[in-house]
Amino acid sequence: MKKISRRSFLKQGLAMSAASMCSGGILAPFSGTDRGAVHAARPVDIAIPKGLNYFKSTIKAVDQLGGIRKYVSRGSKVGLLVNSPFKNYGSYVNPEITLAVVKMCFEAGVSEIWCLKEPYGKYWQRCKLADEYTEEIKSLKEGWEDTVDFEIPQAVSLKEATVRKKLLESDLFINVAITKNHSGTNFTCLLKNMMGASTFGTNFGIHYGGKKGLSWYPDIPFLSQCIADLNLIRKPDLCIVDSTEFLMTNGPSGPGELMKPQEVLAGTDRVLMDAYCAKLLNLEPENVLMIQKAAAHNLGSPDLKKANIVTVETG
Amino acid sequence: MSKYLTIPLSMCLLIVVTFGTISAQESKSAKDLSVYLPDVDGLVPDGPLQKADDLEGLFARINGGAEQYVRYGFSKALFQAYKTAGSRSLELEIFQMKNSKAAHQIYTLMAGQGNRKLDMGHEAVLGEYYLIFRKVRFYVTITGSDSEEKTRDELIAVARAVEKKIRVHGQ
Repeated sequence: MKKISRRSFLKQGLAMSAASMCSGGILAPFSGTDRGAVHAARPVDIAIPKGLNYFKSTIKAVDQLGGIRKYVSRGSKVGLLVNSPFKNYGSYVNPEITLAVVKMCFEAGVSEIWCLKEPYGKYWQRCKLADEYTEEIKSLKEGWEDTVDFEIPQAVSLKEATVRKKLLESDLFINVAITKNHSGTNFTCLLKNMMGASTFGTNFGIHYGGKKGLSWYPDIPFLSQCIADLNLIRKPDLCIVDSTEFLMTNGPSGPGELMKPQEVLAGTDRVLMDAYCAKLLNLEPENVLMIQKAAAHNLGSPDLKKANIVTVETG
Repeated sequence: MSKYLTIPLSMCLLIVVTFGTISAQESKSAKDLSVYLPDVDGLVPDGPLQKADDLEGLFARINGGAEQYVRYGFSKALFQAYKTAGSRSLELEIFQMKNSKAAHQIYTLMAGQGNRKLDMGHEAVLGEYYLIFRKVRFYVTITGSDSEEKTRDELIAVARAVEKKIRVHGQ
């Protein structure tokens, strides 16, 4: 594991953040879509196409937000965090959704896409469209090897974490999660997916540490706080959620019973999107600790009533 | 004299052979769960056999949820992917728990309420794309990659073959 000093990292991190904002964030052109996006007076907070073609739904979702070029600029480097290491149906992001994100990014002219988490070995074999996009899949780079220690001064519990270096070096960070049940927290989506960007050692401490000391029974308040703290490291520039078919029991690994809302979500507020997805699992956002703790860090708003959520049937 | 010794000696030999065979089987099953791998026409391994003989191995192979097995009493596990005669992918997992109660507890946790019960092992359910059964201290899951009827038929065939092996070796 290659480490850099905390001091140099923080210095570098600030530079990266600034570069990210300039290249793909606030200065990126807004008129990126030519696919018939929704031109509502109010910006869309969450776009939710619903239908059986998940590849098209993903593209539609991003278009409804204003198109991929709103977030991606030519030549930029993308850090892509996908919940893909699981093997059972309903426990991993449908690869067609991931592929749609990859396709959009390459079409927008990104130079590199770094995968921040190693996928399950047969992940792409399960993609019906893999043969059509072999070049794009081959172009994905392994960005999970190099790690770095990161101080989180604003954190309540997780003051330091070891994370993928490419999470910090990428110009643009895209978080692609799946909604599902979790045996510890009852719920996992974008906020918890951030643990995919931290190492096994950090995650082990998060899962099994806390006030109780090391235990097989997770300390849920501690775990939830650590998840919120971890999300302080970097805000995703774009969030995609697979809520098409997912585990409603026996998560996170399954196998278990499935729920099939057939929805793909796109947005930028991970707290808001997690709040929406918690409700799919019949959980109230105010009862999901990680959502509340993330909101307390001002990482987003779980108030669904104030949000502009656009749903559309795609057939 | 030899007439009087033939029967007792034969009995002794039979006992030695019988108990020796059982002992050998128990010894093998105690060391290696691969004796329970199914023999089904057209079923071929798709990737290496993976084992977890300790907690480190278990946590390395189960991404999330491994603590459930530890909580109830994990002993060891085996993982094998297959391709079926119909070119479908299946994943077999055999967990040897510390005792029948531990196996029953993890089964009860995972079986769920909405799945179809099957007459297999001590308890079994068929989910949309997976089958779970428990036989003595063994907890077994077989998972398909889709919910087609043919996949479920193959799940049942493989499960029956594993159950048969556990009946022979595991009791």
